[in-house]
Amino acid sequence: VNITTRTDRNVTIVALAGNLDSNTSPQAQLALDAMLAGGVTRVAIDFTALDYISSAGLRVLLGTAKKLSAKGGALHVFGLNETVREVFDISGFSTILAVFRTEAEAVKGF
Amino acid sequence: VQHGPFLGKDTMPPAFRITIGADLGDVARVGAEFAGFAEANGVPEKVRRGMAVALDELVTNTITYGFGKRGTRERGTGEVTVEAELREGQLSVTLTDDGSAFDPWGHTTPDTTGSLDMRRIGGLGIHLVKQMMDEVGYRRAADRNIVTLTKRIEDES
Repeated sequence: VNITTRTDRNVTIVALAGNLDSNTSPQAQLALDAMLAGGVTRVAIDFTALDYISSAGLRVLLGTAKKLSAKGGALHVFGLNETVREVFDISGFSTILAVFRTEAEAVKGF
Repeated sequence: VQHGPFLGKDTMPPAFRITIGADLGDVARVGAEFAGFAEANGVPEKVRRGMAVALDELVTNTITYGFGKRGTRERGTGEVTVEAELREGQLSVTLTDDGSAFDPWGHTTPDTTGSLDMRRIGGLGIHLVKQMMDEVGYRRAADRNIVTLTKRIEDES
């Protein structure tokens, strides 16, 4: 997975390219943990270039959302393809994470 | 009977096979090989992605529960074989391993309705696979676990 980060207003936008599975999720976990340690509270993850996500990736998202929530922040996600959306719907993540269509909506949603 | 664009009645169906050690570090090789097979044979993206999720869940599950501390065999001493075949408008995958007897489907469905604070991940991977595949199966034969997955390929035209 390729991870690129930028800031839009007070929101840290994390773009993930590739896939988030058992092999790549530890790398994403490290990157997100480092951002949280750096004090960010508003994170929007860009899934536009993410091919698929498995439960290992969901685990990373859940942990990150919980940590952000505990700090008074939040995790937003946007740009889900059909398969990622299906995984979110089946797992119930569509109801526990704030899912947006576009980056503009995800940023505005904080 | 609906035929996919890649099917010829008189030719061998496209197929591939990979065997890895029962080692979590080898799981990525299965994903890479499968992606290459799917691309070379025109498997639709939705089917490829769904099966990629299933393979990640099941191969990691098998290695975690069938080998090492939780299983009867040492990690790294066993083998996991993944075979895929395109036939009759469907993608079929068979996973065979020589770890402890383990039926991945014989477990309860996890809670997928709790709040953020209450949510756990355990069991979610297998639940995903059950929902995303059209058919799943399990049998134990010759001291091996044999797990089967089928995903239908809809005509895109």
